Amino acid sequence: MTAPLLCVRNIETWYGPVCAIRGISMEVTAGRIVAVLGANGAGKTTLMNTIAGVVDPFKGSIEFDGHPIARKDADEVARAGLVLVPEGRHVFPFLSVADNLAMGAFARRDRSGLAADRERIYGWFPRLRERQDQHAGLLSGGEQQMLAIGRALMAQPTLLLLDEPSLGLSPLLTREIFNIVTRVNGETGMTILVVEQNAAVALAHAHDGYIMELGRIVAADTCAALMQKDDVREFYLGLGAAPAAGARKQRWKRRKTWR
Amino acid sequence: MALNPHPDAAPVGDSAGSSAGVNPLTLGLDTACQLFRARAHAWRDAPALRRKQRGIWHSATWGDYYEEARAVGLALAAEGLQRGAVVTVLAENRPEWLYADMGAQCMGFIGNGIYPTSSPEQVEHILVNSDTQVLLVEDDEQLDKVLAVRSRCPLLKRIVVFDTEGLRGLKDEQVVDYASFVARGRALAQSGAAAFDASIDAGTPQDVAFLVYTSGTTGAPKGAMIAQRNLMFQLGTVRQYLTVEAGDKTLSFLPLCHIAERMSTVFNQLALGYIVHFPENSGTVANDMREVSPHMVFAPPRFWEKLYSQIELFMRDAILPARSVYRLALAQGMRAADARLAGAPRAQWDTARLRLLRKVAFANVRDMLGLASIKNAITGAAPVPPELLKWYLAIGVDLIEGFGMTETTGFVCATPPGRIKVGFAGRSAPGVDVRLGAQNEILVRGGNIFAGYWKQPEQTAAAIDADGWLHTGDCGELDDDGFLAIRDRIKDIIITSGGKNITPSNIENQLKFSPYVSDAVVIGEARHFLTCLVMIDHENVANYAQEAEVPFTDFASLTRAPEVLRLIHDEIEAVNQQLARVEQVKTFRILAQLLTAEDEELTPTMKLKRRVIAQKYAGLIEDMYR
Repeated sequence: MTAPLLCVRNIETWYGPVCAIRGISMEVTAGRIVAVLGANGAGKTTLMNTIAGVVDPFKGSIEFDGHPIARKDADEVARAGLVLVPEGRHVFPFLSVADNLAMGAFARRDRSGLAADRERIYGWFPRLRERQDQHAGLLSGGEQQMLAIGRALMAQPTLLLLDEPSLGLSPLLTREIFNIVTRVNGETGMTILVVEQNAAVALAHAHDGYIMELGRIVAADTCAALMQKDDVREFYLGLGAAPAAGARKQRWKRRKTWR
Repeated sequence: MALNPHPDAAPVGDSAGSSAGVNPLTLGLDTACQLFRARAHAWRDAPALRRKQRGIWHSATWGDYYEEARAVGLALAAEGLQRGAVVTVLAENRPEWLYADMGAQCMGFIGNGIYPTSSPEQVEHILVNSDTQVLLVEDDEQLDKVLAVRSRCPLLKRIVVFDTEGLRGLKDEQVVDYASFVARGRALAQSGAAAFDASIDAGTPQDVAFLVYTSGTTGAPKGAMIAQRNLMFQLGTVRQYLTVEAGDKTLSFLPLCHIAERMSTVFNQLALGYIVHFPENSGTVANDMREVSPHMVFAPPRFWEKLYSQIELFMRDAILPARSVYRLALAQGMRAADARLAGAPRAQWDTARLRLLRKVAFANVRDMLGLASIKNAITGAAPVPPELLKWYLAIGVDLIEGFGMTETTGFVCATPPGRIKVGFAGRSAPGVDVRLGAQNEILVRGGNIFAGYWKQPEQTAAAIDADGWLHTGDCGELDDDGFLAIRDRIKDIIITSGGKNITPSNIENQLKFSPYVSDAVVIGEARHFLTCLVMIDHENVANYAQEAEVPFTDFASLTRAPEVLRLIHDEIEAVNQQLARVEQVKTFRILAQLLTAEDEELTPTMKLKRRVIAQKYAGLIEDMYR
């Protein structure tokens, strides 16, 4: 077995006195789409920000492509090929779509491939081509998300981190974004780590999955296996045993065991 | 919260009163119900129970307690129950548990409890086996279990629900909410209070007070009948074991279906007059304990270990001055504890210097654990590691050991105050005889021996012999001072293929001393060496892995990590060093699944069931002998 592309070992991240993630280890194999699921406040975004170098872990190590990247600055990590699409998109609203994409290539040295890459991104996101001269702030939420992903792809990442790409999007748009993510992975073999609240979509598109609760990983497996777990079905996919006809609706919650 | 509201508190706490002829603990009455009524009159306005709800403590006085119990009792009678009918509670600890239990017993009905973690099948077994006629359940979740099985419980007349949240739409003739049930009882009390009094007066010492279904590490649970005379005997001698007084506080957080918590929450209170507190829920126990600062805590060794490791972990991250003061004080305290356990004169371990050190260094530790006012810290159900005992002595808490079982209505013996002897569970009270029978089986005789198993005369005859000796099934030792040491369950003794007799729980208990081992089952019957299955302590092992930078994701991956295997291996090796060769554990496996109390592998008190484990993990066991 080849060494994983990203190897997170026992990281712990604190915000002042608050321990947001309390010991997380995970591995991301090259070429896979890996989903991290969890409820609000589980620590998913903190995990992403820690990997990307936005915040420093208090303990633990992160290896990317065989090199330690924990506690390095975010720009250094990005130059190394690990690019984060932050939660809430953060496009530059007063720059045009084309300029936003160009900003994504800011750190690249090979100027020659830029035009071809931009064309490729327009190919994945035709909507962006249509609006390439518009201010990004005038795009719809879904288009802004596409732009944010496109901008990140312009940096030619080895590993793309997507933090809640579905935030504020309709189920239809969410599916569209994930279809493109799958396509990018299929066509380029790019490794993608995605944090998602929409468990059904994420499990359907990703290869491997991790489930986080209260700053810890409680389940890790392939997505196919995760979808078989009772707790995942009931609490993440809403597929709990349907009440028999005429029976009272069950109001209490079963305790999770993650089997 | 300085409370000393009992006008007659002094005689209760004064054992000299017994010389006058009437035991102040029982007032010479026949039944616990009569004692309850006497206390409710004498202590009418003093607090009896407190419960935390949405962050606020609510009190019930003895007067409230009595009125509420009377209302439940009369409402139960209005269901057409006759004396001797069984009334069962399926709920977490809460005041209504006591109102129902006490109300039922006063009316001459028999109380009973089911662990809230039970499966619907277990609920069915107990309901059917006990002939329960009225069942009181906690909430929606517990009600669902009963509704699933009630068609097979023909004698069940009525189901009362304490907490009706989520049940607005429920229309069911058999189910009634607790509030209206009690309201009916209160209305009946307007005219029929005399009937309640008459029922209490009609009670006799021979009446069965309640049933305790034994958690059953083997076989189906059976109901032990505790008679009123058993209760009154135990209450009359409780001063031998406990020094808490009227107005002191306790926290009720272990399951009330268990004899130990039942006695300490419901009955010993009648003799001693302390105030029982109920935590908000099982997740807030540590906080509530800090707030209540109880004077008495009874809990298994596991609980005391948790408190200890909490402090040790906390100190690891503390600032340097705090750490060094703690280490220094602890070293001195441990030396003093050693001297004390070795029987050195008091002057050597109770100097002014040590007292000052304890005060400076450990007052905050005791505050944080909620042990600031502790008078009686008791443990039992498993032997206590000497190191743990010494740690508590060092911080100024006299942790004592007790031995008891369902069939002895709680205490058989306990460490007399100030006479701690490591490895021994203390001495019995006057009136309780202890001797060793065949195979060193511990035999007990006295007023605390239960009235037999519910509807199982053969089982009863097997437990109590013709001379009244209860065969406990445990083997042990008695020393010259009458101190008892417990060794093992006799039927658990392993005979290896080499013909050696081995007491597995001796080995298992030593393994459990490790903070990383939550429980273990030693295997080796008819085999040529011993092996064991280990249930790891999730929290402590996860912390270890985190500290040692061992990557893991879920529980199963933790049990597979080579470093964790080595950790457990080393813990077992350390125990092996102290064992004879034939007793050494040659290999082990870690259970890869995180078990909960709902699982059949565990008793409600979170112990592994030997038989179930042997069956369920047969493959894993065979693998160790391959």
